[in-house]
Amino acid sequence: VSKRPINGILNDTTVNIAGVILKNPVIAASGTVGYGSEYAPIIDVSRLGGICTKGLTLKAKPGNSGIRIWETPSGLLNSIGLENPGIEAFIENELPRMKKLGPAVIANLSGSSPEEYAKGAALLDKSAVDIIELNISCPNVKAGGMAFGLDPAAASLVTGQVRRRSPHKPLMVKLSPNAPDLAAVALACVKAGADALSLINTFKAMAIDVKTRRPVFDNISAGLSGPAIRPIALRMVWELYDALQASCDSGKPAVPIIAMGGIACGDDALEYLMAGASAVQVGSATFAHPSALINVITGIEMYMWNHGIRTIKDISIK
Amino acid sequence: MKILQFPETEKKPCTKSMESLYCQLIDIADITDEITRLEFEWNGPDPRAGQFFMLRPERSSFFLGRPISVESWKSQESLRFYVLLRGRGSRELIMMHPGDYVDITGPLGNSWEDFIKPEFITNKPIALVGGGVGIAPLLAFNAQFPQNKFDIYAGFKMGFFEDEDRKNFFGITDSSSGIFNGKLIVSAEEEVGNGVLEGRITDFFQPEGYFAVCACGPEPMLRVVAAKCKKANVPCFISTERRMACGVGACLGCTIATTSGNKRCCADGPIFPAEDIL
Repeated sequence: VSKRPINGILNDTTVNIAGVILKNPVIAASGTVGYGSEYAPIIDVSRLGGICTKGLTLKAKPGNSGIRIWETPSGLLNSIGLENPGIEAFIENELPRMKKLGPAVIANLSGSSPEEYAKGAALLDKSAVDIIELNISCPNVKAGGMAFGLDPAAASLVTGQVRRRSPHKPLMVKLSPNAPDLAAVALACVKAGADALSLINTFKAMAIDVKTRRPVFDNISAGLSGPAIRPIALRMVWELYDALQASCDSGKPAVPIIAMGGIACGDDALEYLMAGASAVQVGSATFAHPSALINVITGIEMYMWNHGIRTIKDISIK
Repeated sequence: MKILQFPETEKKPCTKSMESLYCQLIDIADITDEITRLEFEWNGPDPRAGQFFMLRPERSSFFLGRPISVESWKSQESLRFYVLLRGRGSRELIMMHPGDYVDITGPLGNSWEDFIKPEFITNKPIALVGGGVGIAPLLAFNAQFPQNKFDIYAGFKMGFFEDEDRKNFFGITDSSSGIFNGKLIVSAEEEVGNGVLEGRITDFFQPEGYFAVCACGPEPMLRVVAAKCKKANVPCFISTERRMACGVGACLGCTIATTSGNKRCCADGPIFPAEDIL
């Protein structure tokens, strides 16, 4: 069957994530574009499919002390520690501006206890955000964060509580590559009510400054992102797609995967879409080249055009 | 991975506040053992004195750009920077050849003008105190408002290779253009001579009598300058430096603790009143 598009008709780049239609599958990853407006002077932010906010917590957080960014080969370590103004301040000050930008607004929700997550979810449920991305995978906070994303029972508990307190918003759970059994955590989240899964958050890693003979970060460990981790993240997406399909009851589609890890150009994103992802997030690459997000979008569009692919779904080789 | 546009050959006025462009290196020259001057073509927006750009060579083994303060510029034509050899990232920059391409994003951050409005300046002069390449954003301030009275204090580890280098380094300040009407005091810890005093620049600087003091350089130097200013009750503004990833205020990687909470070095700074941060 020929899928070559008819002349004059553009390919359909829209994707449906748990009922929310994104104009294309490219989303700015949490913590890498602030609240979107920071990059508005340099790139056309309105072209993005979605924007994830900086990780939000119920109360404002000052973030971590000491060095927060450390470059590594083809990547970077970060130890920001969820610095944010708190969910109420976000809804009041940042959200109205973010909604005006155009792309779907995805609120990244974090916390240090299931109760805190649930309270935050309740506030977001009443707000104008389009999707909640539940962050149970931040490696840079002492309490909570990644702890909930390593164990299926803990992940299920938090996801269930957030699901109950935010019944009106699509819920996407952001998974940690540091989980001993990623598929088990993912399936537990789906069972507890997740509508989509995003993976991966950063790898727990560290650096030592040989001049000072001390660990670089006050927290010792930090999160590794960037092209360095892309092949590992891709393998995780490939495997998780299969696990989700295998666990699905016949007839019911598996939840969509929003994939990320080191995407810097169209081909990188296509790899993930071929591995079964429904959409992608671009993070660290934006720091290196502010136009990376736009280039990923045009790269996907060009590929679809050149290969006669009509929809994003058709890119998948699964 | 070519993801930035080549600058268009046809020049048109830039209306954006910042731009990310692929630019060619026009000129490169070693000024001292540690400091290299780089000049790039640039037809993006004009910077203001004290602002910086993220620079990343096209052929780079590095992932992120490096934040570098602009020293001078020609509108719609070029930008000039001084780069200190500090690590592998700065080495890549200073090993480039004319004709090589660099990703340049900016101008970024705030300006000295945000604190010292030129129209409010009285007949008292302003002191510009720089350590090493820290002098670059201060020279930009001097060059932009030549009608104001600036005294320049510049301290270095090593003196200059040639008398000519020293003259070039300070640009209009050192020439007989008649534009610069202040004092120029240069000190170095080694290789003195050619009009360079021996010692630390803080040994030759007193804040009394100045309208304000602007400083940029290594932290120990800044602390001494700020302490002297506080004692003399002279306003002191400092251009700070942090490791950065985005440069536009999004990643919160360059946070500085201030008396009014966390601020972003890149977007809220890099210039802060000294009493807010030290």
